Amino acid sequence: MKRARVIYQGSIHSATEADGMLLLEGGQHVTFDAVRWLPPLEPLPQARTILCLGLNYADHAKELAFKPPSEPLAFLKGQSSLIGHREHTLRQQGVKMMHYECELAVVIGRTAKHVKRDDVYDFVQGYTVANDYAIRDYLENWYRPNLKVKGRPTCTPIGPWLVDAKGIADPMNLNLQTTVNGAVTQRGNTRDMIFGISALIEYFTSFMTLRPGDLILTGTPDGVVDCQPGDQVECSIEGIGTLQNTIFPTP
Amino acid sequence: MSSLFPAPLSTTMPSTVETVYGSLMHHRAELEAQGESVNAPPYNAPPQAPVLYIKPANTHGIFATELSLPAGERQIHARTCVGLIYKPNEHVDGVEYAQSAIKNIVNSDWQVALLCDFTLPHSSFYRPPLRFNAHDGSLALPQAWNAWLRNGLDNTLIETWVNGACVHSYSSADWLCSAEEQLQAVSEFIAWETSDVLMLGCPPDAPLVKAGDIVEARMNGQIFTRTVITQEAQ
Repeated sequence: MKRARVIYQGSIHSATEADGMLLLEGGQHVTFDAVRWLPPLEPLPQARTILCLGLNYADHAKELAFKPPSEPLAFLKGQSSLIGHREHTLRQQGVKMMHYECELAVVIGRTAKHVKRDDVYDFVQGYTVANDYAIRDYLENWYRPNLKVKGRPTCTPIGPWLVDAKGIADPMNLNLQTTVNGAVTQRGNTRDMIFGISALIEYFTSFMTLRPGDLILTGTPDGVVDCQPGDQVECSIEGIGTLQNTIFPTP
Repeated sequence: MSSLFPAPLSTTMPSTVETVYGSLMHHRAELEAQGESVNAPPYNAPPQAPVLYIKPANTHGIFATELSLPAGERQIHARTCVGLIYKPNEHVDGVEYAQSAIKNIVNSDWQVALLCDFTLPHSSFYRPPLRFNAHDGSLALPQAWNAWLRNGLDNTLIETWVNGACVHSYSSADWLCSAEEQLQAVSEFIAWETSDVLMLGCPPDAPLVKAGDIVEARMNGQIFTRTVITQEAQ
């Protein structure tokens, strides 16, 4: 099952994918173009925890001249950085390097603490695609990667679908790729993660409780390039979906 | 635990705050304690933008709840911080609103309180592992928020009390910039949603507390947080 959240005729709807259309919860079929897409995540009674991985693909760590980490390099970001499919991401005038990061996002389905590695998939609701943009001009070496680089509004598109976990036979063997204006710029496979989904959930839940709707953005492989205003960026993960996004200039 | 204090309440109640951001290097003494190291690797330069971290929802603990120290950790820093919570007077559409950060701070859209941020001792601010400040219950939320009056945080004494005695205090006069200025600087790149919180800086000599201690954050005689420290079984 592929689930979405959309705005249709001024109100928010849950929807599922049906034969290339959106099936709204009221039974109405509408086209993908007829809606505004929201992150495919239900509202929560508490703040959503958004865990993000740095340097979690061996080739990307090498690209950025780092030794592969011995412990997951995780950071947090706020929910206000998220936007949906087909939205605009803002690039400030004068910025020299802003790049996408195509990432498999894991959505937690059950309250999880001290989860053992063999049990982690019992706690996964599903998967979606995230684009964890970085504006590298703002990078500083204090609590890196600092939130001025990673926590900005519009800089984390996510969606279009939340795909049920049971629909994905092996999330650790999915091709992913990014195109900019149709040209492929990034290719990878989730099997090349340094810390896979099992290791990450076991690690995080060893000291923190994760709740339904919390997110883990699992990192990005080699192949990030600068994106300019007007660029159409598409992040795709096999079986999960294609997340479209446009870079938009701002003063 | 002493009968003077109410029994810990359930921690499964919904938290009253959304995303909580904390400020580092905002208190003069914290930056000064780094000395010349700010110009050496791995930092290579003093911080330019506000240095921020996030206390995720699992850390949010309500008044008089327990914080269980992780097995193997005997003590933890109790960092009492001023927090500003975003409570806009006019309804804000979260979806539209997140498209751009706030440019104009309106004091009446914010309320103020103390929070107590419990952090395991660590010396690096480069890329510190999450486990130092993201374990369950490691942020004491206030039992009440006050109106934020203009200049209302100037020269204010911020106190940490342990077992009924004041063990640490510092003045808001020692922040490197005012609460308004810090909020403005953070708002250049963070979009606020209703009930998001920005915590301000705390000096590096925050007291270490241990299992059995009862920790409170106080300001102007008002008790904002209370936390009962316990120890996780091995």
